[in-house]
Amino acid sequence: MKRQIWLLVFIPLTLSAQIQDRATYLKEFEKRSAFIAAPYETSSAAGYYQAAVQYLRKTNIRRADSMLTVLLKEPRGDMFWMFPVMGMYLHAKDNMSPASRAAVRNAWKTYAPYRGDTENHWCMYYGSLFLAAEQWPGLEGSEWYNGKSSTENRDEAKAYLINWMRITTTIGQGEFDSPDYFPEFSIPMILLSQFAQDPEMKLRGQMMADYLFTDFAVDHLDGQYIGGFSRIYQPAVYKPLLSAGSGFAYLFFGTGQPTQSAWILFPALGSYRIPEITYRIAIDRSTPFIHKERKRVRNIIRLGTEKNPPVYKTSYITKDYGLSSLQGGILQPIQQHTWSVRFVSGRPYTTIFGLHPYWSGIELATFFPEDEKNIIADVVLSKGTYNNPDKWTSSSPFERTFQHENSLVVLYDIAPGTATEHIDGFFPMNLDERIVDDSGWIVCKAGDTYVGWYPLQEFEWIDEYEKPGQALNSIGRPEMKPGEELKGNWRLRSHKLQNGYVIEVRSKSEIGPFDRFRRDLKKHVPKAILKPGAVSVDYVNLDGNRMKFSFPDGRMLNGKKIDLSRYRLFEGPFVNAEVGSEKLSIKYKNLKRVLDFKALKILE
Amino acid sequence: MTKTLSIVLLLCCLSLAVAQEPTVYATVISTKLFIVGAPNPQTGLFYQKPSEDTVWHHTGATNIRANGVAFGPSSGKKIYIASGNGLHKTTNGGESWKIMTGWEITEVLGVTVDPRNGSNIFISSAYGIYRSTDEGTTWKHVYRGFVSSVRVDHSNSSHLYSSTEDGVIESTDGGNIWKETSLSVKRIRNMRQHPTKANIIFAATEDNGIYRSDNAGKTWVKVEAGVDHATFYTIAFDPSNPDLVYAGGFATGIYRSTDGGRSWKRSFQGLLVDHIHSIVVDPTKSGRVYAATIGDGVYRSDDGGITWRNVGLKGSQVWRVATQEN
Repeated sequence: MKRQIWLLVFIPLTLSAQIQDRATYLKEFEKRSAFIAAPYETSSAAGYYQAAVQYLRKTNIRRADSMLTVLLKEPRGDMFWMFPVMGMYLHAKDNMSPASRAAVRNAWKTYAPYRGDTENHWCMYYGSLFLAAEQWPGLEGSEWYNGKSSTENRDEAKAYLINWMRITTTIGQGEFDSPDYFPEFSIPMILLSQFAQDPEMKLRGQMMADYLFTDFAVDHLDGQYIGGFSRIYQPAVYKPLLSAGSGFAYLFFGTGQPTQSAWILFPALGSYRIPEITYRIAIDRSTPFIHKERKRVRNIIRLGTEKNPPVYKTSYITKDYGLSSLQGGILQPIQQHTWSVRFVSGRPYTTIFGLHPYWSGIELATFFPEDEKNIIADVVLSKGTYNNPDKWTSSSPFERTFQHENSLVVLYDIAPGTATEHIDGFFPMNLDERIVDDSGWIVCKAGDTYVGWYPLQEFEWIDEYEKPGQALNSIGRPEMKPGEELKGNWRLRSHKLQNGYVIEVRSKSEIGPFDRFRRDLKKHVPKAILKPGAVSVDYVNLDGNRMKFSFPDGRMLNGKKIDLSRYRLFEGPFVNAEVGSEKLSIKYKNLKRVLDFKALKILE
Repeated sequence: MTKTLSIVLLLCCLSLAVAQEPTVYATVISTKLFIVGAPNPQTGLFYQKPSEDTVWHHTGATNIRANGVAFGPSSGKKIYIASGNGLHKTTNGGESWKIMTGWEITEVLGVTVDPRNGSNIFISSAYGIYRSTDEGTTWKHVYRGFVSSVRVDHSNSSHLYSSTEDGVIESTDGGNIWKETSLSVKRIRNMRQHPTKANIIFAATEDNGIYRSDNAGKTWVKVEAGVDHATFYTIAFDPSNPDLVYAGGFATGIYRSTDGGRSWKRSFQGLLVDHIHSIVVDPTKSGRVYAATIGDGVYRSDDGGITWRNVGLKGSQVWRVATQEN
């Protein structure tokens, strides 16, 4: 009830994105922080977040002690236990009873968390372990779950974290640009920036948090991450503001929807604030811009020749929309989102995207050590949509993209017998218009954003239901209520193996009225060759640029070959970094900030 | 008096028999309910005596993706667990454990102890082979690639074989330098050496069945007779009767050979699951065989693999079974 009052009285349902001066920003941040923490102050549900706030605010220390008694009886959750328990302890230890402090310490002796098998797991694991080892220095191995002394644990954690930072700032982040995994990386860095006793790690925590938030800020629009993502869950893939990362946009950028998600509780309680320059980059969409990035494929452990091949991300962002794409192929198993246009409309479904729903034991065995023949069943335990032909997240070896500014060509050359033999497109229910023009273009309007989709092959429309079973969840992810079912979105499905489409996105401020966009598209019909092993498109876009694209990697713009390997780590009007540099240069008007990880310096 | 004496004698005999039993170990990587970060059922290393039938005890950390287990050569107190968290070691029979590896070594799939020199430990992992010459205190990365297992030639500790994604590789200098053998088939999942004839080795492969070499890896022959499946994860000799050999893999059930692995027959009476990941024969009792299954715990045969029954850990993915003589 109290939460509803907050929502109705103090916070508008969606937040406008006007740049605030620093003092106002900081004041508003505090308001949002108080709003986020409010329900945890009085909640009787046993949880580390509730305990943290009740200790910190001294609203009910006895109850918080009782909570810990329950929670620490049988700790569970592995690295998802490590950072909440340390976050709580670091924020609240001064107000905890000696018995509760001892119980937390004892848990680090008796409970052995799994380290996990991927970058976000390791970041949480070692970020938390480093802070724990600092809190309890000088202990022998017998006092720790893994038999290592405080010194050994601290040194190992520090070495991992420094190595992760080095790789990220030289060849890119592995689980990059994930609206749903942003918290798993940023929370450990925020905790380090505030609580690390080692000055180097404190500074590194701050710099990495700045790095991650700036990476997000430049691809941010109205609370949404713009992408091309390594990982995203349903339903956030089609309801973008539901992703955990959007909670961080709310807290740090003041955009999107108010949320009291536990993911943003420690950042809300903590002292870390993003630099002013990062905030301004996140908010200022007065001028459309192109931004390019290079990221890194998750560790390939077999069936490949390179451990971390590059990912190339291209984004075009305006005040109304962001069109963004990865180059295609398998860049991250299971939850890849290769391209989408996301727009500002104030409605829940703010995206159009397409994919080839694909799965295979080979794909998984490339990245995971389990047996190729059994691994799909393993993965489906936690990622239930993986082998669902109707899924909305997927990588595919048969998909490639070519983006130039706000035009995109996507091609498919699918091998027969592949799971699956169709491609899908998502069209939301809350579009203002969805017209199939006699020219072949599907022309859509969402607020001031116009999207044209030219299918290269015949297709069908399927009514799209959103059900709890499709909105499969993992840990703490939003999902629909039982029994809730929504009809109204549309699935474009095409069953041809040699396939593709052309996407054009413009806004009212760029092209004028919607009818003009539709009229203009009629004059721009792509020419395609769609034969097995020979899939290509020749297309002149609305701005007169000629895009010739041959599957898989023949990209020509106005007669010049596009060489993706020349992409820098970051390249655009706001953020720049060379591959291998360990140095991120951030600029916004007369503001400048350089994160130099080699020299371990922040220059302004 | 005579009756009391008889009972005492009987108890003595029974306890002697129990004392001679090996300990059977099983590494459970997950259960049907496993999700990273979720409240998972207990996994890790389990053990039992054969006389305990379906009762298993847990030791060490839970929920660590325990893939393999190995033992120090003499005391019975040194045990190693290969796991997602690295290599765990106990020197006191499981009372306390320490992770012997750092952050660099992860997804450890197997651990091998040199039977002649317990200081030499080999880790097989998703990132290659790591060698320690000081019982796991320090490590050297000696091979890069996806490695499922390492075998030390029981006739020569300097000679090692390894099953890798790129084929069977071998080292003749104790594991420093590795080279490919002549087997052209890739994606090797396991290897096994004949217990007495060191030149005979078998390779279990993904998608390519079973290969045999009679000359220590110089030449290889695909074993065709009776083999109807392609993916094998395990091969095991009966140490007391090396003509009796077992194999298992994906959807195979148990394969059984009575002629030293030249020809095979499937034998799965009593098995309720046909994915087999590891097989071990009780070295103290010919014909007592344990099979680790993907999804249904451990099965045991007491008649040389003809009939099978579940002996616990139901619902588990058991990656490895092993025995330790006491």
